[in-house]
Amino acid sequence: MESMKIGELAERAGVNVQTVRYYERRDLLPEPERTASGYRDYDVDDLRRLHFILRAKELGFTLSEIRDLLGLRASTGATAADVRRRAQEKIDDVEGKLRDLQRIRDGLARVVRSCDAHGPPDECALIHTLHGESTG
Amino acid sequence: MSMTIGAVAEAARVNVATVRYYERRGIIAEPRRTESGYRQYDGSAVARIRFIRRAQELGFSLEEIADLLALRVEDPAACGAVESATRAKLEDVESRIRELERLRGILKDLLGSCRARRATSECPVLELLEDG
Repeated sequence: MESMKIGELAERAGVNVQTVRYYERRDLLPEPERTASGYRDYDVDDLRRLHFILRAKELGFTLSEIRDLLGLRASTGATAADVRRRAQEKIDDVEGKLRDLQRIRDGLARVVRSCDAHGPPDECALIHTLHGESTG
Repeated sequence: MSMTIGAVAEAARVNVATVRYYERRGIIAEPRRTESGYRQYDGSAVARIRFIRRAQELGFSLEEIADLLALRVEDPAACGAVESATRAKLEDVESRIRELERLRGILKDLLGSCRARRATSECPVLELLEDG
């Protein structure tokens, strides 16, 4: 499998080397193999994982939530109930984010419509889109 | 209704330093001052701060939130610009929605595999990155 050093991994993901080390310390990326001369040795799986972390951050997940997401897998072992519970928690979480984003989307669509209609001044209609149960 | 900075912070569930920071960044307006120089807010500041917090939790940067908050129709002549900025944000929000829907689908599949006692791959959420 293709092998790369930390600088190349970071560059391909568009982050700096410190970020990669930081994710490693936070257990988001596994400790890499070392080359014979002691350099960290990464492969495309690490790159894929790094891309996922960055994408999930943009979607508003914290690093510890991202670690949970990455650790979720179904196995046939005894921990199935635990994985089910954690997966369900994440689904609830994602659905909360979806509801809020849908409200923002509707607010934005209203702004576009009031433009089309040359309607009356609308004092930031968006602020009120996130009212309701999601103020926490 | 007039509120002190402490009351605004408490109602919006942030700390006072956060309110001042948003002010410095220009995301919330400078409040009026009392004669003795205290900041004096009205209830709309609370709604605005709650919106900012929630939007941050959804992954928007402060710059993006400032853009969102600036979108409003005041002058019909400016409508074209507001409309194109709004449409750009709308596309961004829709792509986040699509990605979260995909993530939800992956998590639901995982839950199904758990119920059926079928093993999944090492790290199923990475499927999010595949085109689809």
